[in-house]
Amino acid sequence: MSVISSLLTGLLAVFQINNLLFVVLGSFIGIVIGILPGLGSSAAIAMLIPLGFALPPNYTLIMMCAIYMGAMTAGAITSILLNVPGTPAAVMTALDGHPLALKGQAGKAIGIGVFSSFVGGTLSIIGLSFLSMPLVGIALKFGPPEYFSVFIVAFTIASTLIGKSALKGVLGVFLGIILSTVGSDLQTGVPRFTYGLNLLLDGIDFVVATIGIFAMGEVLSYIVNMKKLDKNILELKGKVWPTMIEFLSVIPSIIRGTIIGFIAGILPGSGGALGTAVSYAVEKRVHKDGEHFGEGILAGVAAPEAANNASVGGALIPMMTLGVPGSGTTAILMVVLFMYGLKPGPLLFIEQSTLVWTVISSLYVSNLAVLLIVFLMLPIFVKILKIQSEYLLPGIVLFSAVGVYTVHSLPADVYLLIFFGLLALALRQLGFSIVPVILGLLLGASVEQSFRQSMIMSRGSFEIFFTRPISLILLSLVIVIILTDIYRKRKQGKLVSN
Amino acid sequence: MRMSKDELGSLLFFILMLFYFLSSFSIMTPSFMKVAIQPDQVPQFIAIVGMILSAKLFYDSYKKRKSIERDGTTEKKEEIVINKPALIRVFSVSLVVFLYGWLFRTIGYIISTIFLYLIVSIILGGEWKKSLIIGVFLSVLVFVLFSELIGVNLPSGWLSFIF
Repeated sequence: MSVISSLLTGLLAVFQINNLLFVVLGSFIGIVIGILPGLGSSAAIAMLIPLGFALPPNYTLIMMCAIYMGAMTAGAITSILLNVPGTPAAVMTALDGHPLALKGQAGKAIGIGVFSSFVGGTLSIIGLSFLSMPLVGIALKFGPPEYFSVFIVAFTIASTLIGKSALKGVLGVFLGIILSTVGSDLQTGVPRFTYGLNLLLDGIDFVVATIGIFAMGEVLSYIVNMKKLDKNILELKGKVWPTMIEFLSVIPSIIRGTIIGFIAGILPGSGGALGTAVSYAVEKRVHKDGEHFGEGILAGVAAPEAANNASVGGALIPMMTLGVPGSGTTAILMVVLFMYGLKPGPLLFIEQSTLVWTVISSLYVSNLAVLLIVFLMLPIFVKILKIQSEYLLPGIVLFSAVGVYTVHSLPADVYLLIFFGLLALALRQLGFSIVPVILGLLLGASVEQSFRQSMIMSRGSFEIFFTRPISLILLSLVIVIILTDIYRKRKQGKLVSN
Repeated sequence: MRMSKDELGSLLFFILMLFYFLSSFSIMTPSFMKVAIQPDQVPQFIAIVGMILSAKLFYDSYKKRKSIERDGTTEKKEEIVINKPALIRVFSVSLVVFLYGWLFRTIGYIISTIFLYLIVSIILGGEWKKSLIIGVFLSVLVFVLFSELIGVNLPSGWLSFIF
């Protein structure tokens, strides 16, 4: 079936009233989440995972993808009005968005931001639609050695791109892999690192770990900093809808931001923040008013906003086609798929074709729904900014605690929630990113399995990774990435010392 | 504390990797089954490489701190600063959640959840009356969501005469 016919079939399914309801609900929730500072899409989606026990997969996935889209778009509103990003991916938007708001042009800034998000998001979903099938075709040729090599590429990229230290990134991945080895060994059935606890024989539950790391960890980090937000939320002045001239003037910035965000999104573990940072830096360099960036230039809002929504489509590509999450949020979507007994990867497109294309098609609809909801209800959403953290954070704790309890109806899961929350807090305080840890946790078992299966195939010889062409190319890519990172760091070191 | 964050982090990681390595020796290697890679070999590899990388990170961080101290500059963000009020808040919230898990089945969902919300909100500086009202509202909302929609049986505890 061609991509167009698959998309049309998917759209027909999306426009059934129940699916449409979840698109709108997810878009609305995502906008609320995106507006509230300190609560990213990852934490929100993690908290809602237990709802998946009651809902069929299409409803849950549609809703969560819509939340992802909504949060990425709405983060700009907080950045512009409060000079605090609503989501990590909206950090750069504040640099020009808030100065615009100070000049009484908050409405225009939000309008450009939301519109850029819509265009960036739409183009990236088109990319997802047309690139996923060719990638599936390649991935179907993968055997255990190729999968092992892909995972090593993913770990290498995540370690080198996130944070300032590749060493810390690798240690984070190792921590995740260590956690993934707890439980019964998949090949032999022997218990590993269970310390006699029957509870750990099935391993660490991804749902509990995810809610603990993202939701509880977020709350505890916030508690440590306890920043009192500036209550002077700027007024929403001026028209929200940009003029035709203003819109046309930012089109090149939107296109550049989209391309950068999309590519950044594909890189495992990088998420929206990397794309927005790079797109802002590039835009500042190439734009004719580049030297005025930071004073309130519309392109300084358009480019990063296009990039952060473009990263959504990009991040979904490796997750859906290869089972490698492109961001923290797509890592959680992977957990949701596991919960339904679905394995992300090329077989998902073959065995669950209707579900996959319904979800992809729903992204177009949710992208549009977010645009319309924001423009229609913006003054109401601005009021949400006034919710105080001392009443919001306990709600997140409440949802998280009850949520993890519903997984197995065991109090032990609540204790694990605290453990993972404290782990995430400790990692953040020590300057370690949690994304490599999550990648290691989710992919650790698959990496080990693919390695051990490769060894069985090759009767113990490592040559198998180098004699199979795709595996060889991927491992060569690992070396290129490492050398590039070393070169880049040395160059930075020389610049600093000069 | 004289140690930088990276030094402390790398030290903790080293200890973890060492503990993991030593624990891996208690994994049974099945003699009845022929496998190319035994179940303890991958963990041991991860642990050994992890120890080496932690040691490298520690060495690099130590060298950097010594060089900064020698030059007379201080990078405050690298230093470990123990914020006692923050630690107390984190510990208090964690303790409350722990007690919630421990007493959840005994006291019941409704009462324990209201108290969870109320106490955490007060710890974070909320007014008790407002917190109580929001706590009751959210508890009921979550009850409807999880009990009626998902069909999870939430314990009634002390209110078993009602539910």
